Amino acid sequence: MIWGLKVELVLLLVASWSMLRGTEEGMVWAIVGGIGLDLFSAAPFGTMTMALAVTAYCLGRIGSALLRTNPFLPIAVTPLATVIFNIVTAGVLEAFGWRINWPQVTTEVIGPLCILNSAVMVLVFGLLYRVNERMERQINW
Amino acid sequence: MFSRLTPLIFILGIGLAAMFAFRLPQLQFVQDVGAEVFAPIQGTLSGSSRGVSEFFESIRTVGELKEQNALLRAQVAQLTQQTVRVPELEQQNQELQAELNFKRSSPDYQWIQSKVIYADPSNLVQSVTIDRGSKDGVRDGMTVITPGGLVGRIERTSPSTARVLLITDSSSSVTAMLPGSRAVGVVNGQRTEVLQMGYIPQSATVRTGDKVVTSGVGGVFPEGILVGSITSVSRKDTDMFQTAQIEPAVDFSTLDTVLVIINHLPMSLN
Repeated sequence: MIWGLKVELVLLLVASWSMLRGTEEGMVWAIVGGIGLDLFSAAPFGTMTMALAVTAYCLGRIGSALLRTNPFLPIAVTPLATVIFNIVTAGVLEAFGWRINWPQVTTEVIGPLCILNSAVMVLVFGLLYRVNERMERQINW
Repeated sequence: MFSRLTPLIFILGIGLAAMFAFRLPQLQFVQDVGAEVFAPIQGTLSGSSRGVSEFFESIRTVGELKEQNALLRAQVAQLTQQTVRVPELEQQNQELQAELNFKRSSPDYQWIQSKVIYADPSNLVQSVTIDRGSKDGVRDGMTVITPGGLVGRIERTSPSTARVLLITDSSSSVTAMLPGSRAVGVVNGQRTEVLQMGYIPQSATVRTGDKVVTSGVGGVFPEGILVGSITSVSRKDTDMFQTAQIEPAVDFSTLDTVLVIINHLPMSLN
């Protein structure tokens, strides 16, 4: 934990895979990862799954276009992924009775998480980029 | 035959004569000179022979030394393990001592000790999961504390684990009281390490440093458990109520062992 916050590794994995492989595959892994997170969270079941699915959908659309210009430009999209994921999560929590102090959540959670997640995304995206290349080489061969 | 024995007899005779002759004080110096001349040579030779005998001795004892070495290494490893455990045992001792002191001050509560397994994966929800569940007698709604103060309540149980919603969570509300002024208010979590107490009557005297305890109103939490202490007060004449910021009595960043109060369940409105 840094600044009292945890790096959102599942989000980074799902976001990277969505940008590399498209919306459909990204959403499949969003559901798998989301259910895993929901099992261990006190948030209403399905909150994480929904937030990850929305994030995977958005990034799948954006990422494939960005990859054509620069393969590492998607890393710059990490703050957007963080914002989408956490706003959806906070929105669902508020709908279920959690008191969400939006200014505080924005400045003390989402802001610092954008920086943390972006730093770790360099490694995560790089790793999944290589995995994706290897998979595509095997398919073409 | 006699001529063959002559050299032998001659040598024996010389020898006997020398034996008796060197007993004479006048001929002692010859013995001394001989000793001086031959002593270094004798010393070198005996040193060499000692070295040779030590060499063979060492070959013989190598096996014994290997065994001793292995035994000593095992002892060192065991002692190292014990040394590593000492800080952990000291920590456990302190926790048990705190629990004992708490038991003496709160004899009405019965609890079971439990370890925190993991925290909520979300950064927006403050909860932890403990290693006690329904098969240990844990039920939804039970109060969770440490000897230092209030931690939260059981939100969901499974046979072996239970999820605890912390009082720092933004969905948490605790009816609380200031023991000095008997003023009652509601303590809400704010996702951070600072709690907020609201609905404090304007007429109540609230000071920085005042302790805040559970009031027992509503029946969710037992009465008298320490929540925290006041760090700042906000009082405006135009408002109906005062608000105060509270520093929790429990350090949630290092939460490791908790106590689940098993002889108090929330009152059902049904």
